Amino acid sequence: MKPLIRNLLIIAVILGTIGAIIGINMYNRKDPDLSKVKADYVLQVSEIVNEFEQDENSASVKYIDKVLEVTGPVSAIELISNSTMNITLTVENQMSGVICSFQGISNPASFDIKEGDIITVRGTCSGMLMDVLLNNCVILR
Amino acid sequence: MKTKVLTVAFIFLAFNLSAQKFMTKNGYIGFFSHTPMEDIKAGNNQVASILDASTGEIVFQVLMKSFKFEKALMEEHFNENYAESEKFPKSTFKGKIANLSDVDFSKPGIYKVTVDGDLFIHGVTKNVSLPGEIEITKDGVNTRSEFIIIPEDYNIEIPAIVRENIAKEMKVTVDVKLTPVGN
Repeated sequence: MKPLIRNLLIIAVILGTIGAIIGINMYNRKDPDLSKVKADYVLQVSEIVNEFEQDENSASVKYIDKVLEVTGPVSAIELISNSTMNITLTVENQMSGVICSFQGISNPASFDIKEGDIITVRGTCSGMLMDVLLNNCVILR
Repeated sequence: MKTKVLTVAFIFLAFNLSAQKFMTKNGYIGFFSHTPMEDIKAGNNQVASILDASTGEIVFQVLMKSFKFEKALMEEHFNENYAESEKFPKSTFKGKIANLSDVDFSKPGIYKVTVDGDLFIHGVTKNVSLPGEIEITKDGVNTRSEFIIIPEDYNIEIPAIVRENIAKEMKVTVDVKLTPVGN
């Protein structure tokens, strides 16, 4: 085999292998661990709820798919399954709050949180139904 | 506009406390696609639902972006290419229990029901009749259903390149626990 053809073949194999590795990694990529991601916005529960209630369209454009860090009092804790839990943050006298979903948790009992506690949660905003919804959440404090 | 009207109807149903109503904001709806090439499963644990026991009216509402997939890439393709979640952020079912007289809300037990109504997905509304069951418990009402939807019915086009990976029919699972409001 001529050296030129051999070298081209080696380069093609190397590029093909790199491409396959990148492709497999992209295909198997999980959601990012938000405890290691900087928040796009840091807000109180009342602020984010007010923005959505005043103008849902512009709040949707601003916040959906963004990482939010939201602080407020816990009003409900719902264990959905062994690996999923929803914590709702609601300010008194406000009809809507923020529902934070924690997916892929291994030990729900380790969440040492009760109603009334003021916590800060980081999560990705999905928009608003009756409440503002966050996913892939982590508790910061 | 359609979703706005449904949202208003939803809130009206929720806060018109003249009759026995049940509600949740933490229900589950999932869907499953099976092909020889790949299984795709997604779940949404932020389903809002209201049931009016006196009329049998029931509403489910979800944000499409709250469906979580095993793989982030699937979730991106779902939101960007198929559900077009930015353009059609919400899906809604608004219906009525057809055989309401078969359900005794005061007596714990499991009741088979058929729910007729409008399913709104991807900007398309279709009239559907869904099988399900209602379980009356001491804490409230659990609603469960399994049914098939065909994405093409809702103008969701699956590109030829991934046709082998995505089933023509999706199995939808509903599992929603509602608790009493008011009264």
